[in-house]
Amino acid sequence: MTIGIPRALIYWKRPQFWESFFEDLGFRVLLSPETNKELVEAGVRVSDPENCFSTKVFFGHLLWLDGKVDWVFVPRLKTNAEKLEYCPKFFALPDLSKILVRTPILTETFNEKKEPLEGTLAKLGRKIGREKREVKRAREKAFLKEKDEEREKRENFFRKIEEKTTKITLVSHPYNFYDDYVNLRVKEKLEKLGAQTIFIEETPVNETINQRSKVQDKDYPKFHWEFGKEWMEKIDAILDYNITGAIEISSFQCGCDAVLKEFVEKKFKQNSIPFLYLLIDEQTGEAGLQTRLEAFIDTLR
Amino acid sequence: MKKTIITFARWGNYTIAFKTIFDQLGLEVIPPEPTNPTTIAEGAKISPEMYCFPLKTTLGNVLPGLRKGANTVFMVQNIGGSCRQRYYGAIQKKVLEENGHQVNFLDFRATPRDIYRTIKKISGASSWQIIRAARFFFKKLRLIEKIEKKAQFYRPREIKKGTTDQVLTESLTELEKLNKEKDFPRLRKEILKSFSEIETEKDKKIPRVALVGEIYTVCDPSINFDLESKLGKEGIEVHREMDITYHLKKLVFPWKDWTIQRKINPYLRSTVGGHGRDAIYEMLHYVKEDFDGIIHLLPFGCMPEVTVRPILEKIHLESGIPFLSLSLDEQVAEAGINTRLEAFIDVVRNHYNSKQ
Amino acid sequence: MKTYLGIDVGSISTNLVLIDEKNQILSSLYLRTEGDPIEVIQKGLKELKNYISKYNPAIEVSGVGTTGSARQLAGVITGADLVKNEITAHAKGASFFVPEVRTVIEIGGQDSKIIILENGVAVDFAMNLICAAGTGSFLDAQASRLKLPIERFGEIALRSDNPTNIGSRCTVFAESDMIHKQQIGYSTEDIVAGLCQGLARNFLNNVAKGKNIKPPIVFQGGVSENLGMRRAFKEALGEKIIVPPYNTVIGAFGVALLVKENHPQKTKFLGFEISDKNIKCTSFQCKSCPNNCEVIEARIDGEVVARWNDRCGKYSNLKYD
Repeated sequence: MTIGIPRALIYWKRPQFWESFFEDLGFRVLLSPETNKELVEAGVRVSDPENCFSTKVFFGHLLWLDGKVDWVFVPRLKTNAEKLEYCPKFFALPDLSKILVRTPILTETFNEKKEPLEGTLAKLGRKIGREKREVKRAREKAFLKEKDEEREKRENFFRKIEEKTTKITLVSHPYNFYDDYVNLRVKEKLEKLGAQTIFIEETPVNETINQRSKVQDKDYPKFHWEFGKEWMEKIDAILDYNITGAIEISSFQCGCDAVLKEFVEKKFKQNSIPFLYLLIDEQTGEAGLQTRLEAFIDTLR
Repeated sequence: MKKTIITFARWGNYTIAFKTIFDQLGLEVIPPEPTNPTTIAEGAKISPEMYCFPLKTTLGNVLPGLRKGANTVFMVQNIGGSCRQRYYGAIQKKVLEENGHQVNFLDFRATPRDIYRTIKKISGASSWQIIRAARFFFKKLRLIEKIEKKAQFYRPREIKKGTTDQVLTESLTELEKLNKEKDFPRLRKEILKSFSEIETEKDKKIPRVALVGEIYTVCDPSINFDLESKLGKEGIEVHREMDITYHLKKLVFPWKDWTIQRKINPYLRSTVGGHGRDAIYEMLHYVKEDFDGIIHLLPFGCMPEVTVRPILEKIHLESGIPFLSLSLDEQVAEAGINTRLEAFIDVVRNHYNSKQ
Repeated sequence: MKTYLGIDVGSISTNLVLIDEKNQILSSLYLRTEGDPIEVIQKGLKELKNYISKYNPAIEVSGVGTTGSARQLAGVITGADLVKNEITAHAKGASFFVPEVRTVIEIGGQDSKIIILENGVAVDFAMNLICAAGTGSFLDAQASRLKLPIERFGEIALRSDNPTNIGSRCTVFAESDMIHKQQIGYSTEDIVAGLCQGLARNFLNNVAKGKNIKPPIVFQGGVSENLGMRRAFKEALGEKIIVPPYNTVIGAFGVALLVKENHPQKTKFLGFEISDKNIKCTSFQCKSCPNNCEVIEARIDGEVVARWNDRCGKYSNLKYD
């Protein structure tokens, strides 16, 4: 039995975890390939024109898997361990996926406000004929892998922050940051221009003594979105390190980013850190992006 | 402390009822400027571009009031949860401050308790006064919704074109002027009488079209280019379930929500924020009732409505019911909407005639 | 001889079609609107009058229908018997030539639309919402940037074997993308073909989204003259594309058919004389209510003949003679 996982959107919320989990339970896992032009075009063709670019990319990956696997895994992510909500567009993904493909959709609702992750995973295991005990083992193994990865990220962060080069923090969702086709290889471009990129997600929050946010009154609303809270806290944290500039990358028509951008921008500007806002979608030209990045780097010097 | 002078955003004919609350509690109010292309442009100019349309229009409503001296803005917060409306207060406050307006934002959640607390805080009125103001508010609100529904029925059947809209406008003007609760029953009777005096072809069989979608755009004629009136004048009976009463009913009786979820289960097994699920539920209902068309209204890029639109389109393709989805924002021109409406009316008539 | 006149006033072109009772097209005109719909209608009527007096003075106009984005204005100044939206008019025109048609793709100057038909009547449709991408003016703009006449665009596109991908949502972005593609050595043919493909893709992704596209597919409107566009749609849809006769004036033809079917008892047509009259259109803002409607007023030789565009009907319901 093969389970297909679209390598887009929600996948990047927990890369490694799902592959490890299903493989340990004895399934073959087929990931859709890295995003390419064909996938994006297929996704754009079937999506509502007013939907966000990231969702369109997701549907492209979904279509690629159609007919190649026994199930496509599309979890319904609603709330996380902190009881904060994911983007509301995630809520309907399994239903919208069902309209688009013939391959059965394997799904389960992850709503940690109502049910701890362990319980949901056990239910998911039952759907694919696996015992509680097996699920538990697979889960623990997957968590360990995730932990390793986080440790690596943290070490990476401190290594990068020690370097004396121009350090630019990228504020974005993981599905924009880790997908190099989607972000038009922005990391590579910045590195060629002599800048070090630090993804906002990599910033450790608990360990650092977060001075700024303690003295300062919170001048942003209490977000009910997990990424909203995370971004704002981590921006507060990264301000303690000596960063040179900040770039926010949003996918076109992302409703949540329209809210967050206001507060992200304000935060950096208040702290006199140059800020650049980039909107990306299937129409974004590489040439235009390159120009803007070069100009931005010039302003930093 | 400076005296509190309130202004608030308009929302179609409901504005009349909102104003009553402040009037009854003796609060000083500068009524919002009516929504028209000028206020929309002004709001859009200072709003974040990617934000949804109602944020821009409501901002446009309160700006003139702030210039005239208002210092407090009322902004309701959707408790539907997931959608962006939740941050209207925070964003608008930020935008206004950046544009040199120091305002006190009364950002409250749409629960009876939160509304009560906010009003109590600002007015200092006794509980009894607040309850009385609320009662008067509800009386006006119910009457507004009742005559809007009557107008939907009378417009396509009226003999002299335009009579219904004239009666509706006059009734609303009178209702706005009324500020003594004891005079309400008399006015209500008069208004209902003037409606029953409209000459109509009662037994006329006509096509029926339902409006579904996002509550603000669906309920405000100045946002949706007077859609109901335009359809009515073309001889089409309009139905719309979405209004404040519908929303409040869902708050008070949670089982309404369970029914909705049960009915839409084959299509969507989750909330998606806002009234996304309700659009599916209503569309299924109208298909079953053999309506001749569905118009889906939403602000451009509205997260919940865009999420459910593929499902509405699926129902449209499965059932063959004519379907038109209109996304509205400051860039949409009335002429373009009119062309689509006229063509849609032809499609609806074709559908209706093919059934006969 | 009884004839019926259809007038389609769009933002780019204005078309007039005169048909007889057997639906034969006697005369068809394709004129540039050039921002002045009144003048172009007058000019068109004058040409038509010359044609009639020259070839068949027995012709009498028994009905006039108007369509297109300036249909209301055209209706007022000609005294039309029928003012119809262009979607219904185009559906009518297409199903006359291809009775079993299921899908109509119409791309004009600033509008593009898809119409789904069943048994000759429209059952579903969509139109481009806000911007010009996905319409003919997108190609016009790119053609002038490439310094190519738009008429030759199609034939140049056909010469390409390797069309390049050009972002086509927005004319402004398309330009910078095009310059980039020129720099990295793409030929003009490939760029032109890429633009055609981009427009077709944009149309299918945005305008035609969610529509049940079934053959036979008819392609009409000004842009259907472009051979590159025909090929682009054929490749994108994998179906035969039918371009009907009179493809560029088919909206006017459709509304002529519609007015003929309505057979007005006595036409309200104001006659060809109006092409010599002084017609003025102005607007004013009504301040009687908060709607602040922009009321449009048409005058012929100084006399007000119509006012419209008010929501309450205060002006449009008045009788003007």
